[in-house]
Amino acid sequence: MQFLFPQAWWLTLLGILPVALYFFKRRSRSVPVSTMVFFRWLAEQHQDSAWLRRLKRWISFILTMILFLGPVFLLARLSRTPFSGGVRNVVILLDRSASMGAVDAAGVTRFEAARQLIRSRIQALPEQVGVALVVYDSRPQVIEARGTQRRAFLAALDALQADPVAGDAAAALETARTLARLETPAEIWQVSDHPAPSGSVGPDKEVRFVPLSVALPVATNVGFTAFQVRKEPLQAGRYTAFVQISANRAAPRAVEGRITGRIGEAPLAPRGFRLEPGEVRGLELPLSGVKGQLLRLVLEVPGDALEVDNTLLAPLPESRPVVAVRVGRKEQVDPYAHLALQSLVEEGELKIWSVQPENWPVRDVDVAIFDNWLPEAWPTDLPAVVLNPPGSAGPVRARSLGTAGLPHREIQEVVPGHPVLFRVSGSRVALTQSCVVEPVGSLQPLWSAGGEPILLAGTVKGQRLVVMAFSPRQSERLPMTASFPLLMGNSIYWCAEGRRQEELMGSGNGRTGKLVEVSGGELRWTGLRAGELTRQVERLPAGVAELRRSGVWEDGSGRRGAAHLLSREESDLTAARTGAEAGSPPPGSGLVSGGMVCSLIGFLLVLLLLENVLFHRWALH
Amino acid sequence: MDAMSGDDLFDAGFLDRLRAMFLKLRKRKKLRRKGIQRSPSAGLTREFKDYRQYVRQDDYRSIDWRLYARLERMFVRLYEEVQEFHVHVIVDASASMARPFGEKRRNALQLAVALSYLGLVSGHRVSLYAMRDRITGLLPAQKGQGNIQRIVETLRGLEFDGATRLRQSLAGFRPGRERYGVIFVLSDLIGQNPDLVDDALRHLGGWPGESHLIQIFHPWEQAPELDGEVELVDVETGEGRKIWLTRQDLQRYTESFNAYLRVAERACLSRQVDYLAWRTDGPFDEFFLELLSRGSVLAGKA
Repeated sequence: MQFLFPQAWWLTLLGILPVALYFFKRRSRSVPVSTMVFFRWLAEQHQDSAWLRRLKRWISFILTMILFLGPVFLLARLSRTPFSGGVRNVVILLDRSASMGAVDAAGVTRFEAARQLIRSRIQALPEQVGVALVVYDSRPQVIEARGTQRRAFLAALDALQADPVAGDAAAALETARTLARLETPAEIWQVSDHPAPSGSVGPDKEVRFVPLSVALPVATNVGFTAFQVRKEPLQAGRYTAFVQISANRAAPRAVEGRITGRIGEAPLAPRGFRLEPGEVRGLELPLSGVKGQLLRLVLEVPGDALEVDNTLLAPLPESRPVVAVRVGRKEQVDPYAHLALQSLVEEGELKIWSVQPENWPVRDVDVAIFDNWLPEAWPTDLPAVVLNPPGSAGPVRARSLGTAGLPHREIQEVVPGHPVLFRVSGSRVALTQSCVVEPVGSLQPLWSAGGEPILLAGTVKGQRLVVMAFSPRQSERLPMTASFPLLMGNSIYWCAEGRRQEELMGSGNGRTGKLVEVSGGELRWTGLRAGELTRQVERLPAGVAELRRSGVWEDGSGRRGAAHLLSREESDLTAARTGAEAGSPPPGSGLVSGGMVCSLIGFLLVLLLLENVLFHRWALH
Repeated sequence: MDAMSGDDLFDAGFLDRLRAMFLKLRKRKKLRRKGIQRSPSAGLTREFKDYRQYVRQDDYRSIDWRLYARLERMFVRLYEEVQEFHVHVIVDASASMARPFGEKRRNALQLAVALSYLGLVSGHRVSLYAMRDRITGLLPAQKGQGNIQRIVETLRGLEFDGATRLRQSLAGFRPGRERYGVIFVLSDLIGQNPDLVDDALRHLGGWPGESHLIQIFHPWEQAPELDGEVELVDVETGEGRKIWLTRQDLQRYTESFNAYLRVAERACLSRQVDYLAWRTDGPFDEFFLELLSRGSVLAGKA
């Protein structure tokens, strides 16, 4: 037992008053009466012996003193479990990521359970122990620095809520550790529904790490973990939604559900599924609509614990033609490549411009095609397709093999499933290698011939790059097959894809927790709740917004975007460990398990009742 | 004892209203002395009352010969019989009537003055008595309205002390045949033993005349407002007793007190003694009229 607020013991000095009253106020109030005969008769009904009256008087005095000391104990906050170790500082690391919004059978979110757990433990802390509060999702935030004002702390705690943002516990743990080191010995209480991150214990022995789990005992959840909408090429009003759904690994059994949705107000055909625990599945949903229409997708799974990952809301993307610029000297331009590119041009889908190297750089294009030419200054904001590079420039490390080149009668497909090779057959390809290319960075050989890579693709400094180390005009069969235009077209679309997707959906699109620049000082949100669209306006005078909601946003300038959780980690709800009660401290922890306020109040009430019955109702005196 | 002025006891306005009242006896008995009070019986006065047929043994002097000459039947004339009787007012002068609530003493003295005045105005003889351990006379029998001041002075000088011995007092009171009349006992009936009240009131029924018992009590005596531990002191005997009172105890006390009142009432009614309990918070006028009407002694006067 320990008193968490021992200063209240000074109040025991007031106990002198009842003692003095007991010993000095022995004379009863004298009342003259004329009907003594009736009082005498009354007293004879309850006449006690002298020793019994004395005993009862002592019992009354003891009850009085207990009733007096009880509130003192309450104010001094008597606690059952002593707070050992002399901890002077407690940093509470509270997870407010999306998974904390999971609800149990009673409808209580994990965040509310965490709040109640923190509240109960805070109230059991000695007053002199400082408490700090750090909340985290994608980034940590210090809500309360170290302080002893419990009321302010609890008020700040009540103002928090879980947001549909993925969590990053490692960064937050570093922040908490920094705060904990300010005054040691200290403890870090991580309250989360996820297991503690690896390395959370830390090297500092003065800072003890205490994980407090509020995970559901049984958790079933299926959520969207990836999402993309593309327009079908060469098909007006046709789109394809690529969604990835995953079931949490802790699900007790296989989960069955369905995906429903709407485009505008037109419903989509439901798609049923069955997922084993931990299974991830990708689905393609063909869509018909017009640009700007809202696509709503809803996961319907019985017993699903987390709602925030069950909905997707996004506008159908606009269809703007891909613009590629072909840069090369006129006399060195490959005619087969020129023919292949011309065959790809389609009104509304692809535009190809041809410019001389003197006119480079060119603005407002999606992809650059360097044909037997390389710029001295490599463009940092433009993906590129390099055909027959004459030398090295930028990320391309190549050495020319001369005018003759090195013919190859066959090639080996290194990565057959790469998007650049979509429907491109490599079985009858015979070509002439014109240069030797060194794979740099993430450049990945797709084709190789004679042990040398002749077709490479990858991402260098955030921009996609395709390098073709062969000359079509010198090759025997490749330019004459249908695979070459397909290869060129795939390369252009693949390079443009990353850039176009961001452009179509807006910067920061996709996942919540990102920062976006906002024009007009406000962000209008369109969300989906219980199958209905909801609209809210978020005032943002600073011009920068962190996407902390799920849905479609639009700023004052009309720029639109979408934000969704799409986090495998958040959708993968964990279940509480068997045998470990949620929120219980690990063995050896010096934490207070709880105060005795309720017990003391109950005891005092029983005493009051007893005193009332004995000395008032039954009149023991 | 606090002094009480004569005006408090002798309210002129109230006594004026008393002039319209006369006492009537419930028990029809002939009195030796004749007075001016009308009686249902026929007597020998000069005021004609009625006729009735002559029967033997009637006084022939009362035959109306003129009526005989006219009807040839003999009728005798009946005259109003006027009676004079005694009004005995017995006031409980024990300490419990004055302490701790002076209202009992005040009400008892006011009632005694009112009854005495009414008796004097009606031409009766009024006697005053004090009751403690026995009943003692305070004043010889008075007659005539002019003696009301003497009665008031006597009552004002009455000291309330000592203990009541109800049984002993009532047993020792003998008004005698020559003092036959109406007896009023004004008391709180609180003696040493409540169980003996029935035996004590037995003597009231044995008195020769019409008896009235007015029990005066304070509301606090019926429902005391006490709580916790108190030391009670008996105002009559000085006896002290510590007691811890609860609400349940007080409820039990009230029940026993009310039972005591019922015992006293039954004891009186079974012996044809008029009984009336008077809480001191009740208005005096209403109580006095109630007393007269209940006892059939109310008489109107034009």
